[in-house]
Amino acid sequence: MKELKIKCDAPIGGIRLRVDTTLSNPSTALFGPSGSGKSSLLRIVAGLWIPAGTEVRLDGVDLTQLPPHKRRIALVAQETALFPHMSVAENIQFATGPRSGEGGFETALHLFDLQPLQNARIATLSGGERKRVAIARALASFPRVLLLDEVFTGMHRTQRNDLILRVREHCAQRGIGILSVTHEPTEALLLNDETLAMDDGKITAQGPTREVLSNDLSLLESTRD
Amino acid sequence: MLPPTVLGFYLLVGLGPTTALGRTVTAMLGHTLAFSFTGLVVGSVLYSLPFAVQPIVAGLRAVDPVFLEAAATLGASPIRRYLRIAMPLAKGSILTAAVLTFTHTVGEFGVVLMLGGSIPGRTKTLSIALYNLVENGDFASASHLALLLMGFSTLALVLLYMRPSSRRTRAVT
Repeated sequence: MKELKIKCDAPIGGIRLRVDTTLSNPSTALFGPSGSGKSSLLRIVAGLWIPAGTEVRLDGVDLTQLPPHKRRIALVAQETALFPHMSVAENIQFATGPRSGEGGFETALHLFDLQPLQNARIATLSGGERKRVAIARALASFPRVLLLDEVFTGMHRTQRNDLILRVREHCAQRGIGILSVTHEPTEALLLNDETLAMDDGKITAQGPTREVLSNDLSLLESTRD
Repeated sequence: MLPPTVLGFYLLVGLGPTTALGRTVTAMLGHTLAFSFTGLVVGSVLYSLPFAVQPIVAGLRAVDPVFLEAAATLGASPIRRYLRIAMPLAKGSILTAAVLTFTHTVGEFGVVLMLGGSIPGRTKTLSIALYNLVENGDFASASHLALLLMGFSTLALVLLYMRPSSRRTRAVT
């Protein structure tokens, strides 16, 4: 991904989501309080919600009227949405689909050390394992952009940081853009070059993560001291 | 809801040699649908289909949309989402519909008698056989057959309700 342009002006849940921005960094965070419109923005990019007046362009190509399955934009939601009637391997194979010969399955398994869990049923997995499988499945679909909606919330810090770094490295190597929603400044610092701070449906700041989140990060550091 | 005999009558007439539909079906199958086992199955399906629709629709509605949305963003077309995600997740309801309609069909009388004509070895069903036994005053045999039908229906319903209750298929974190 070189450039992702998002434009929308739509009412949602008592607020008006007004965004007109172009993301040119490979990895961007949407940071802000609950209800500020971050997840809705991800749904618009994924094509799961197409309100009137929306425009989504990826590397100059207009995706606005494309249905989600033709966009090659994978979304991993907090609830992971792993298919409960399939094993771990079947979940990932579902994502590789017709491109199963291109090694996406093996790469996804290897990337997150999922080989021992291949035949496991989803119900038997821990929360952390589910998140690894969900991200592996999304990456196995050969997306151009990976959307992460508070996926790392609730994970142990060490596991979370390890997972974030693996995702970031894999996406950087393959030119996959990342757009992630988070409440955690340290998470954004690890994963994202750029951050969009959002509040009440509007972008309140946009720039390098360390700059945009400087107040939150210094607050965090002073708390640790 | 049409009375079964009325539906059977219209199917008998509609699939007979006097209508274009009847002639087309006869030409395709090589025999008339009326008074044949195939015709009996077609009539029973048409009669029982409404009883299958409600549980199947309820089962499909109970599938959490997050699974279908996830499948869509993974590149799955609407047909693939339906076949690989919605149908398997709603299989409990589809099984319920199948059992209910099957037991309902086994006990059906009007459509099968009207369309099938109670031909021994071809279109004579257990329900019609029971009626014939009573008509002939053979109450002992009728009693055995009635007991068999009741046992079958009870067993089907017990098996249906013994399986884990169908619940909304929710995503977990």
